[in-house]
Amino acid sequence: MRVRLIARVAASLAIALLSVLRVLAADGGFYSAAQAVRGEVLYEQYCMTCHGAKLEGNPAAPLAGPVFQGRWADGQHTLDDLFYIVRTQMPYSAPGSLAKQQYVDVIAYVLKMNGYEPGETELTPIASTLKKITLQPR
Amino acid sequence: MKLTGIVLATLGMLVASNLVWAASGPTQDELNHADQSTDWLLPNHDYAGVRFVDLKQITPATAASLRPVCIYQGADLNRSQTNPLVYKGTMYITAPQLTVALDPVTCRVKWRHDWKEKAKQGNSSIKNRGAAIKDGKVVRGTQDGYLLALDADSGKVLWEVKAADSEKFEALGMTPLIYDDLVIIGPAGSEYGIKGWIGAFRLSDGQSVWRFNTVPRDGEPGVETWVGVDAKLRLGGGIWTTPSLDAAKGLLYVPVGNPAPDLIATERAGTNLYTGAMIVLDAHTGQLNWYKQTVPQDTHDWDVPVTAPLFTTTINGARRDVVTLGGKDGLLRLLDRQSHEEIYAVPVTTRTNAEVAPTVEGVYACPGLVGGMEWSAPALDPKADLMVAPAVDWCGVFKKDEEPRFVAGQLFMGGSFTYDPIEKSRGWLTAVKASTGEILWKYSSSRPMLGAVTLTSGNVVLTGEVTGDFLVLDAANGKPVYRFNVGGPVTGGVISYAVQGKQYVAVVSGMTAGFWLAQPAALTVVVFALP
Repeated sequence: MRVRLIARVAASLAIALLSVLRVLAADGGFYSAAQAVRGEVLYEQYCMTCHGAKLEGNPAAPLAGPVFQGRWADGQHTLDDLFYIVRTQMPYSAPGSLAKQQYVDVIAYVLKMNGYEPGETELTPIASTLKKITLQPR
Repeated sequence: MKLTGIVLATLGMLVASNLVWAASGPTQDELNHADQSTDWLLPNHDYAGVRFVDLKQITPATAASLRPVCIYQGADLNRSQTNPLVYKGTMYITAPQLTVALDPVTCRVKWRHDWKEKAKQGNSSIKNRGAAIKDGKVVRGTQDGYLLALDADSGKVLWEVKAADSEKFEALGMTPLIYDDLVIIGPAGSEYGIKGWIGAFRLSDGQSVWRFNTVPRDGEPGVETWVGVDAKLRLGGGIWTTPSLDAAKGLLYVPVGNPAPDLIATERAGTNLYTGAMIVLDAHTGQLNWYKQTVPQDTHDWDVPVTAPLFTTTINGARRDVVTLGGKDGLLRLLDRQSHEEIYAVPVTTRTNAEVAPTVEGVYACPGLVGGMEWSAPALDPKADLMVAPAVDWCGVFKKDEEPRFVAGQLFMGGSFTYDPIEKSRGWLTAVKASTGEILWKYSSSRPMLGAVTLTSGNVVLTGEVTGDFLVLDAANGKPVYRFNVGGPVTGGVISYAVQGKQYVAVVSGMTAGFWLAQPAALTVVVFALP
């Protein structure tokens, strides 16, 4: 009986936690404003040439707007998927050449430019954390 | 009576001035004889993809007098790789969403069609390399998988079909090939995890006729060459460039791209047919006739982008029908079309560690991720036995991922490539004796050579450079005889044609992919002629 109760409580807590994460994902808040500023500096240095000053994406893929939303805020990708692509493929001429923290800083700036609001805590390059965040369409 | 005569005479003049002919052509007969035309009817000039024009006003002696005679500015910032077509007084060019008909002498716009994407999302990474024309129709693909037929005289849509699945990131960027009532086209995007195919669609209404899977599905021949890979991850085999066609035999020579993930083969043991290969198909049925795989189990993204020109030559006293095969692996090959024997394989760029698969630590190798030979095919002067091939020379370090991950719609590389510094990038034009592969001369460019190459009976080589220079070389020795900066990288078509007996050259320039590290520029066509 006691075991069942513990299981129920644990399940409730898990559901509550997932709900919190979903809200977090829906409303943003998973990076800080200062982090996005750092990301902007890195973006201008390493990404802007291909992805555009406003992330409009020419000649490379857009990183803001409907195309980005369609690809990454489709409910099927986590931020860890985005982190994986960015850290293994970018910058295109020297993939993997930035520190992991720098990659998540750039992601923070991309999220800001897609309308996700900053919060109090920084986005960290920890897979287990990033896997829990799924972007919701803006 | 007099009135009737005037009406008939007027109608006759209308016909003579091409207004009527342009609406209905080019005919199959005209396409079959495109090699003798001074228009430019097919992406590589003719079905065999010879890229030779019998025009001789521009020569090494006269080239210095060339002048721009008109300029078209498309204000399009997508990669400009379109190969213009010219037919009876009209030039047709494309961009990803744009099709334009121009006067090939004045560059004045006759009509313009803007495609509004209909699919949920197109693969914006795949650009457009041109249109095909026949029977009064201009046919082209789109990033969101549509195939369109436009009226050649007005640009109005005659039909549109959803030919490729944009939900699976298939995009139609290659220039289609039209033969009889068939439009041949297939999707690019191996890196985005597509399952490649090439198909035929009816020119009359766009309906599908046949499809050949370049990556075999379950139960299809060749599937046994993918060992240990889940069917869902049997990926790649994109089509980026136009096949050549042996019109007499109705055989298509189709260039097929790499498998995915590009840089790691741990989970796809086997040769991975029909990726990194040329496949020869019956144009009417899509049945496989034979194939030549140049890069079995590729781990360097070394597509086969070039299967032209087809020609007949004399080797050791025997006449042989041959096909040219150019790869991002940096080899220019010649194959016998009957025996399938490889006659030669000549390096046209640096090759280092070409046989070594990437490791987690990294392997320095040449060619790099961008080849080798890219999308522009060699040009051939059959009488001179001269073939001129462009190539990229840009080495770097290939690494494979420890834990490759497939993320739908994203680059599925399975590793990475770090380019040498831009100062070490360069390009080559290599001239060979077409029948033997003997190297006759080389032209070295400070950047990769990506633009189209055309030869003429005036004994000149017409091409362009990523630096923005339109370039005329003496075909006898490769020495530049004329150079003009058109304002943007030349990575698309460079064609020559005649209007009312005067020779022109049209040069396409504009944006390149960011990784080429070239200056940004909008789509531009500059037309040159002698005074």
